Amino acid sequence: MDDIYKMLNIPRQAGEAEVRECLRRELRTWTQRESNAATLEKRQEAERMIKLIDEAETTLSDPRRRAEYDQRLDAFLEGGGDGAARQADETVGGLIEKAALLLRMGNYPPAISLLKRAVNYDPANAMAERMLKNAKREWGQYLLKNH
Amino acid sequence: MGKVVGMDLGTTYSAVAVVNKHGRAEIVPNREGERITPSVVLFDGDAPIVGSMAKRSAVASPDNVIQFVKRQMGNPSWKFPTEGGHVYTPEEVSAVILKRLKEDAETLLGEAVTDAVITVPAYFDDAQRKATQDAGRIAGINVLRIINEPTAAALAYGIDKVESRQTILVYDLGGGTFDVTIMRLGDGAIDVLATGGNRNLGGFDWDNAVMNFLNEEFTRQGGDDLFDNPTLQQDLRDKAEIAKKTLSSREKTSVFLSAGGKNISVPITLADFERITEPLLKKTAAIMEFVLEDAELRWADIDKVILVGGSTRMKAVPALVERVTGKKPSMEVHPDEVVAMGAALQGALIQLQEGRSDLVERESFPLVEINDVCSHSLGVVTHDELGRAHNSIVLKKNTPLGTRVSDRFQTLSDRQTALDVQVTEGEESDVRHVKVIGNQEIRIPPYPKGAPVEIFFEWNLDGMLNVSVFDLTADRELSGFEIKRGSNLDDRQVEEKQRKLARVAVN
Repeated sequence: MDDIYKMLNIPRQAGEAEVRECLRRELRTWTQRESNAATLEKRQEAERMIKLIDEAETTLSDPRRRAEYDQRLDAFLEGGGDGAARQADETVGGLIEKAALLLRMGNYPPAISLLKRAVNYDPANAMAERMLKNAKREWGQYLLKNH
Repeated sequence: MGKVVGMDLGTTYSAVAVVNKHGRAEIVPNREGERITPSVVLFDGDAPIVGSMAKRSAVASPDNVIQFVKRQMGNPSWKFPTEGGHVYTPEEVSAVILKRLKEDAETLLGEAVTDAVITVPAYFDDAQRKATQDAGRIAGINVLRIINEPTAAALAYGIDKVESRQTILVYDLGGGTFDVTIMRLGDGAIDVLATGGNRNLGGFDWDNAVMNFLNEEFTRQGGDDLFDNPTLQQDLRDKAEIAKKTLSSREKTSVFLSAGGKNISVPITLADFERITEPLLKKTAAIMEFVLEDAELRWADIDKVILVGGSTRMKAVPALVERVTGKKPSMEVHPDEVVAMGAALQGALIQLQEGRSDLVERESFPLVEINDVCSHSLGVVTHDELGRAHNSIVLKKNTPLGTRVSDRFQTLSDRQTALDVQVTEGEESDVRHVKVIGNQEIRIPPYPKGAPVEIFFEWNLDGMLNVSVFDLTADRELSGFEIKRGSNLDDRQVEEKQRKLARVAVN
């Protein structure tokens, strides 16, 4: 079950006006993301979110529907939700995979630290070593925001 | 010197206009006598055929027909291999369409057409604009300027009204794209205040909704899934488009579907149509609200609403626009023709400025000043002290074109000898939600970390990007900075494709 409060950044106790404000803000963000999506996958994600916002409006703007939804959500959350976040296996493969994801997002330092761990575990892993070297080189060429 | 024409290169239909000797813009019909030409290309062997004939062939020969190529502009991974073994990029397919439009105009006008102003949706990004400009060049056209479709529409509407002050909203729903632009007319100028849109929302999506509706009904009654077969799917698309157009003037229609021995007539009412396409319409309403907000106006401030694009003929569109804005949309402009006419007027204005106009009454032609804005923010990827990547916006969207804006940055490490400048396009600080439109590594002298660097951004009048980088320690421009657009062709490729297309006869 979707926790629409969490997914749409709406405080659980928000009143009618605040909910409307939050939904408008989210709609603006996701409309923009949909328009600017660089890939089909991202566009589809935005489309799903816009649909969710539309449904959330129906649910949350009607006090009776909202109360019903809140009750179901509470029961669901008490039951442990979709299960506690599972710890990813700390294998070299897992570390590399996580680092690759971080690198794609441009988050170099945490990626570098993961890759260092991977190289420590398995010094013979050529892939980890190569990725670490490249990440270090690329990271050294970035700019900092001037505050 | 040849004539300058205005070209509206649309997702589904294109149009050409020219300014006559008396300063009036008029549509140039194609060789078939049509005022708009379907943007469809059929590759029959290797000779491309453009227009209605190609559109009619789509069902019989779906694998050799290209439609909606505008949606692929700026997409480097889209390629079309012809049966003759040639591979066409989106720029080349668009060039084929432009070449045909140019040749038709030359036949009708009886003189050479060398120069053109080509329009793009206001919400097109840098790569899509560059791809459109390249398409013009490949077609052998001197592209005087790339301008925004809503601005072109406003120019055609307002060229004789720019002395009276008024604020107008252009709602442009075409075959494949959607734009909303708010602008102010007055004092001899058109000033764009804000613009927004969706590059993937147009009549095409309404057709898709109707196709789904019809296919569901057909399969529910035991028919085959029409989407499984390209010919049947194309047949369904044509019928869905016709049904949609019928529902612009009637309350209901029926679509006859036949496949695998099943013959079924599926009725569709206006109410059905409006129910299944409501989410699409809602998207346009949201964008209207946000553009109004960006312009820092209220609905009461809008004096006139203009509808542009064939899709605004759908009954629900004027009704929605009136509901949202509180204004009855104006019927003064022709939704299919006004963009090309505005582009032609812009061309005439440029020729006047360059002193090479063939207008008879040159003095009476209103010299309108057009101040357009960019539809996307620009920035660079930077990192904070914790190493997290951010998009730092330098030039905000809705900034007038031609404005140069800069921001200062500093280097990250001691003796850093290279900068990886990643230029972004988008509105958010989260790098996952912006597009890196070009990046280049440039050399700098080895300074201690924290060396200041200033980056300048400018959208030029074509809505395309210029970037320059300054080393503030040495107080000099870092040379050799040119955006390598990952999504576009380079100059050599454009020239090569131009030579190739020059040898191809387009029919």
